[in-house]
Amino acid sequence: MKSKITYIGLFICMALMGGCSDFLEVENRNSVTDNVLWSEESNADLFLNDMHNDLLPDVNKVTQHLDQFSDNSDVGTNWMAGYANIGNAQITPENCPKGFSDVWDWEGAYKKIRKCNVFIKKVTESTLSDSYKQYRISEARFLRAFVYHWLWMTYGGVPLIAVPLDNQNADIPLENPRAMAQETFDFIVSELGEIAPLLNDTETGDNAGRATKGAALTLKGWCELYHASAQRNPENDIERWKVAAKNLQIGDGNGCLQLGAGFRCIVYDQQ
Amino acid sequence: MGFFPSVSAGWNISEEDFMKNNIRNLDMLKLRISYGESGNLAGKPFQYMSGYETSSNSAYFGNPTTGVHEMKQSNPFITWERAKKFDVGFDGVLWRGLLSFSVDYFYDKRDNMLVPPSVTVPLEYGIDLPDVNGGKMSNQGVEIMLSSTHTFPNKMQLDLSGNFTYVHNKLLETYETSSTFNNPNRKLTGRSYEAQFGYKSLGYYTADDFNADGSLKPGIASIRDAKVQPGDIKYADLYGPDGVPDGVIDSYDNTVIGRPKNSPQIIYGFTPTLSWKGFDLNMLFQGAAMNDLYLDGTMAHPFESQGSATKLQYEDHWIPDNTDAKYPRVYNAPVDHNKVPSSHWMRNAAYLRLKSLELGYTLPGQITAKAGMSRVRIYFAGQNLWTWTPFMDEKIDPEAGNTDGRYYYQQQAFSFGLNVTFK
Repeated sequence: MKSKITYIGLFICMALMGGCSDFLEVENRNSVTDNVLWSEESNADLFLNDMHNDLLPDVNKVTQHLDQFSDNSDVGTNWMAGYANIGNAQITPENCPKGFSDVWDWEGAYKKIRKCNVFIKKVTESTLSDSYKQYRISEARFLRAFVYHWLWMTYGGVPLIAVPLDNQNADIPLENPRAMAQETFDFIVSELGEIAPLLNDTETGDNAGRATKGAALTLKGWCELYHASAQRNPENDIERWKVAAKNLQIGDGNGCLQLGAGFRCIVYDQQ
Repeated sequence: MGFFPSVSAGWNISEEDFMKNNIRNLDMLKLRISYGESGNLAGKPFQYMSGYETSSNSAYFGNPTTGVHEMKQSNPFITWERAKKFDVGFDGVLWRGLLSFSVDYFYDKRDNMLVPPSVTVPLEYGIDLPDVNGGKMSNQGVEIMLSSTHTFPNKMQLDLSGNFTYVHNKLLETYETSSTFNNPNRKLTGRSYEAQFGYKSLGYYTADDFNADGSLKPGIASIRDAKVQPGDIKYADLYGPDGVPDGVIDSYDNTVIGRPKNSPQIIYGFTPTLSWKGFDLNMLFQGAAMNDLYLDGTMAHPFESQGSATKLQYEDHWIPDNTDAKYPRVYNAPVDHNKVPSSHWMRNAAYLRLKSLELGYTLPGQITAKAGMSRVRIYFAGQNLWTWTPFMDEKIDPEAGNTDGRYYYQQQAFSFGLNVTFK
């Protein structure tokens, strides 16, 4: 009799447990989910902070300045291996070093570009405020144009990818052919031109270091100058020089945004 | 919910009537058979969900900040691995303990292994693809244990026991692109899991392989654009885009050069124990065979990373008077075409090691009893006393799991001791 009651009791317990199976669900405490991340401004900023951290690793670090890529140096550019390959003219797509500040790194660049695309897509779809969206998306577009400009300077035409690729979504093409160098240049310059009015003039305090209007215009001017230079402009098309000269003179009375005003502005606070 | 049943049965053959009184020297004979399944979630948890994890450092805007980044893409169809294990074995004892044995044959088959999908997206994808349950692997082999105990007429007692295991691993199914699947030398399916691949080395280029101006004669293959000289390693051209050798050494010419790292197919050991008139000696020998070790770093290439060279490299490298050397021509820094993975650097790391030894002497009871001690024993013990690697000249520990000689070595240890028991 006793054993019968035990069995019936056990059976009832198991039947009840089948209903409330939620306590078996375990949450992942090591990561943040989509809903949480894009629902608050401070959370979405975390993603942007990581993107900023990715830019230009090791800029001007003692082992990665340009001299390390010449025979003036004995150890640099991935220690011996990179130097030997450059010095012996044996660079192939498999062993190409990443370059100073990783600017030659194709795979790394597209990882950074993907982060920008994910941020832009998720923030656009989110329910955050419009002013935040406009401001931060412009910043993400600046970062994306920045990475693209290194790729453009190194390789000329590259695949232009503006959405995060997803192999489970049939609408997004996985294979993106390289665009021509002119098309890549146009993309970078148009992006920068569109976001420049949307950025602030200066950033201070907790935002010191974020992209400003001047940064976007300077990068745009630099790209135009490079496009006009002998390396990309072998026929010496004067029109390109004119475009660069005109755009770089846009300094709305603020001395620091004029070409040539640079050094004084670095040394003193703005006048 | 996962369901993993198992079942086993044993049959004591020696207790059966037809055996019991008929066969004299067989003390025990038993047949065992078992089958079971077990599950395992390989890899990290939560791979079915996407998410963001914190980055270790992040940008500084006036103050330090934290950042998050995407984890690997998620796989919503992920499930556990299922291993089906089958074992059949015999245990027996003969001649009143003179010989006892245990022999097993086992076969394991593992399904739904998590494997990384071969590259099916371009580099611009920007994020790692998730692992998928696409692998199937089998392991089968034999385990033998033997032991023996005997006391001789002069009161010497000898115990001997040993074990031996042989395993063969085969990957039955996995993700592969057509470049490896269609090339019989590179095919991953049907080979051991994580077998090592590389070029096949044919020795060195000789002066006869070159024309007067330093270029290679037609018909002799080399890595594209590599500036080779006599004394550099010559690789075999096994395959090409059309299925036949094409005169260029590239990834089409890869083939299996060795077993998976740190996975000997045979492991064995034996422990002889001897005792006689107060002396006792026991030893443990262990070893492995069918074990491939790939040499790398300064062990293989002199002056790698501005390092030094080994004595063996100094004594036996290629010079015109020593064209049959162990190591190729030396440069001031290792050149790529001698450093690519190839069978030249694969070594047979079969070994036998005297892992431990203890020799002791117990003083006769009558002497010690007079001093009030019931037992006094002195002993000498040692660990890792001797290692024998007959097929490999380089001094590298086959158990260390290391390829370039930079590891903290196992130490030889010697100790002396005294055990005293007071009444």
